[in-house]
Amino acid sequence: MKDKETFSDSLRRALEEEGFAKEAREEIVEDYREMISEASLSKEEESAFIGELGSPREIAKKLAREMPKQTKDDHKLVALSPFLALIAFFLIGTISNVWHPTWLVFFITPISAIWTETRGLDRLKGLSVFVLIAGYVLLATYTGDWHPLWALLVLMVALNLYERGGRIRKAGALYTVAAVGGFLTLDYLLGIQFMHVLLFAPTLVLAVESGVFGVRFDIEGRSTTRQEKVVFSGLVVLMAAVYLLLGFMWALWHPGWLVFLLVPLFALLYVQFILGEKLPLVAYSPFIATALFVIVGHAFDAYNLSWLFFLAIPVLGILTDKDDEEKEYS
Amino acid sequence: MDAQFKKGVLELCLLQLIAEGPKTPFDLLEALAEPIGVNVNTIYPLLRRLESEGRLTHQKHREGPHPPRKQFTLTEAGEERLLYLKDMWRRLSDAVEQLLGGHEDEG
Repeated sequence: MKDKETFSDSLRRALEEEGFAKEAREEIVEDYREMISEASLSKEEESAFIGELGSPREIAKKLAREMPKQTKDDHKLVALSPFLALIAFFLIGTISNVWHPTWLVFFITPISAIWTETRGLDRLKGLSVFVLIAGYVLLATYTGDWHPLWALLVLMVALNLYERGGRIRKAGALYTVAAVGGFLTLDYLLGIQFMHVLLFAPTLVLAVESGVFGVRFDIEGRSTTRQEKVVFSGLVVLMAAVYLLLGFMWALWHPGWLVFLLVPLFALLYVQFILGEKLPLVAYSPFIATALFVIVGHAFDAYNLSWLFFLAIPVLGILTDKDDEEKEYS
Repeated sequence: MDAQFKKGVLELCLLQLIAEGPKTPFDLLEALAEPIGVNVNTIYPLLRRLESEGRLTHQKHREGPHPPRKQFTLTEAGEERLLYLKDMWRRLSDAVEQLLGGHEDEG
């Protein structure tokens, strides 16, 4: 039974990544579950049939290709958002000559995708990442208080803990919100420095234990191993420590936050070189383009030009997009 | 069998099988996997496309103690499409038969 559940979860996530609306995702997963049940009733071993189905990611990709209308109609806003963001970036940048933090308007692309794709707590959780980062960068740029305002980012952990459910995690979420408030109060009002970071110790322990920092590797219906969870949770904590170190020691709060991009980058490298999954170059491009955009923009005060790095994403996509018609009947 | 060729005839085969009586995706897989050499990941997206084009519809059907299963039936548009594809197939196969026969006679 575990195989069927693992397969369903992986397929659901893969369909989400391909931009299927929630209703369509659930229907497709239900159809595949029915087929697995029928196969096991007729003659086949459930696990053998699941093996024949192949990778959930490939299934989702194929469905996205075969049913383009269903995905595209739902996502006109998402498709338009990069152009709208670029126009807004140029207008605001040219008029005000403030390119940083105007570049935050590019967040409307992931924000609109999350808004279209998710509902309820999932939506809140997804939006919180971009809203909190944008809020942090905006506030910190104009106040200069990169520390202690980074504590606002910890609110993402609170939402994740709450979403995972359970009495202890929900209590942990409430504690985390209070800890953020307490941290900022102690720092701003009482001038207590450094040691009050210990307020976040219980949050950190609970977050690691709950797998909040986890990275999912849903390839061929396999589930993420305990070892992978530990390594990648550790990596997130390590990057947070590196960020704080860069900030406290060399005041590199911005663009030091770029170290967090190493987490998805390492995850992609792990998938490609350790798990042996073929990944197109375009998978890496958003992270590399963002890093180059910020580094070049910051170092040479040239955000008005460095946005060109983002063009590498669609260009690479076009260059590496293979016609895989022939694979369809394999 | 060539992939493009299979793709062309699969829609016709699916519609014909469903015209004979309501079918689940698994029924269709069992009927087509061996003779045409297709898998569920080829059949299922086509079923979804045909349904979104209004050529198929589905009902949930319960049989015995098992949970209800999705069964596809043809709509009027599906029946028309089947007639059209059958006609196309017959014309094509006649033409190819004649061509092949002609060549065999020559040989």
